[in-house]
Amino acid sequence: MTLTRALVVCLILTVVVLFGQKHGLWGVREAARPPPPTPAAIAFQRAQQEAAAREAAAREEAARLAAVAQPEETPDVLPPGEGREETFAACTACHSTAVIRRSRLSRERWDELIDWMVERQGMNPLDAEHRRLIVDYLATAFPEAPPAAGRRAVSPFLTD
Amino acid sequence: MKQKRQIGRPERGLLELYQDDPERADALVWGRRGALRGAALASMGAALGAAIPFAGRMPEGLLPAALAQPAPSGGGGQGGPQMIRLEGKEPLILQGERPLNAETPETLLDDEVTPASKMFVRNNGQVPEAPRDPRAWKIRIDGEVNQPLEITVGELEGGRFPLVTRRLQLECGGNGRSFFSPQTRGNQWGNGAVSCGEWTGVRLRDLLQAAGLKESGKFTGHFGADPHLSGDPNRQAISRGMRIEKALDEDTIIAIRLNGEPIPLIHGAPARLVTPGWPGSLSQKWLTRIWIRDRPHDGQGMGGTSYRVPVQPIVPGSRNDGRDFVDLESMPVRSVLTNIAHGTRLPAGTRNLDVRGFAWAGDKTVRAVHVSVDYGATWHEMRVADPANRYAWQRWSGRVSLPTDGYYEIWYRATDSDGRMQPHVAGNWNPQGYGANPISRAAVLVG
Repeated sequence: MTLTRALVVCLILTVVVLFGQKHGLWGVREAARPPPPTPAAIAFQRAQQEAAAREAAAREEAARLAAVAQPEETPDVLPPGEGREETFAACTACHSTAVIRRSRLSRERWDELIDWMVERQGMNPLDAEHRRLIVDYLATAFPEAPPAAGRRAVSPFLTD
Repeated sequence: MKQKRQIGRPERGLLELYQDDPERADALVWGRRGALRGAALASMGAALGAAIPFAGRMPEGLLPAALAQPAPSGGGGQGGPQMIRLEGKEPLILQGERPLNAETPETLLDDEVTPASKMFVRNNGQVPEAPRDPRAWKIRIDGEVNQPLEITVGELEGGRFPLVTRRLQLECGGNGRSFFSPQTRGNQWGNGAVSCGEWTGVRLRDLLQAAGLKESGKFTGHFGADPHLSGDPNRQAISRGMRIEKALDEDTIIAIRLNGEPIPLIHGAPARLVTPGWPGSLSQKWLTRIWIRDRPHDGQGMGGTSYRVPVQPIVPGSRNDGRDFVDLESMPVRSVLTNIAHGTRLPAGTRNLDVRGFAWAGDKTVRAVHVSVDYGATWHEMRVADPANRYAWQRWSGRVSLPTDGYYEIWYRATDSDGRMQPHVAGNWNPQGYGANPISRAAVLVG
């Protein structure tokens, strides 16, 4: 009997001690350690980090490209002349001036180019006066280059 | 060996003389019978800063290359082209910032497989924003098919269709445009709007088969995500198409990798068409849709004078609406010299010169490459390697002799498998300047 009683008291004491320990009434308080991450969770986290890095890199690249593609140009990048400001405004609505500055075309072909811009590239049509001003400017500032290859490059058939 | 230095700066006098009155200049320089005369020869030599050993063979009316074209070195030399530095790229020749266009100097094209850092850049619209999730990028195939197909880049990567890897030449339809006289409109490309990268992707024909191409499907129409320059969301920056036969070619692919890496944004990430041998505009970047049509496509960049050439040659410089033109398909034969820059100065006493480069010919192959250092009087056959695979460019190499010190021009000319050579001048002039592939000339100075 005594043994049984002793055992029961022991059991109760053990339960009380463990209960108290678990709920922090005494003993060393130890934070519950989270379970180690599973391989799947590690992979997921890495994928998320990579995606974020990719996104940041893409945003940076886009910003860099935008900076290159939107050069801060002002009309004085073009040679002076009547119609320079109007030409700059009309053309740089879509494209930078590099392609203009590199072109050497006759007045007829500058005129034709405006048609092409309107019909094929979605440029806003110019009223007649505005158009004359711009074509005159382009033909004066960027006239057809004399053929460097000598007299044979001048076509005897060119009448248009 | 070679110094990247520009040849003694051409005196303005001679160039101006030609620009003011070419006929008089020719008469002064060449004399009535077309022979380069004593004093004039000396003055041309002085302008170049060198003796001209093969002056007797210099064709009448052709300006020495050193006067006719700017040296391409990025050294900021007088008269050289403006260069552009882009992230992850070597310095390229600036054609324009908006749209962003840049050309590769010929001497940067010396690799068998062109690294992304050396690829030319061609845009018609704005560069779109990079996709947040490249694998979720969708490509739709519809029109004349039994079962419209929508497939993601992730699925393409996943191997639902066989992935193929090929070295494919990709060339702008306007490559060589600057050689036309009179000048034509558009970017003034030299020979450097070309690359030969190693592309990985799926064959377009496998996708067309999966979608069930109908008998009535005769033509493609391509769409990409790049916004129009004006920002108008209802306009395509470019939307071209090709005959169904080319779409079914085993080397026409939807690429998802370049040289083993994801495609850089500027080159069409995450997926683009690669249609080798035909104008680069058919290799739609940022590909979103292929519309199979029962008639030729009529998107932006189709019809009129766009990517079209005359069947019946027209007077250079004349006006033409292009109604009777045909679409430019296979690109013409062309070569580049990759180990010696135009304007290179060589040490005195240099008598032998190793030269090398690449040559290609659209749908065809290159049969021969010849080099002349005496203005075409004599030609020397170079070695030409076989292409690594169909549509890869071909390495050419050899050695030429220079009898004395002085000014020389290296002329290089490829011949395609049908026997067609690069001509002496750009022919079949057309308003937008397609198909110019004349013999190229690089000036060197010995001593």
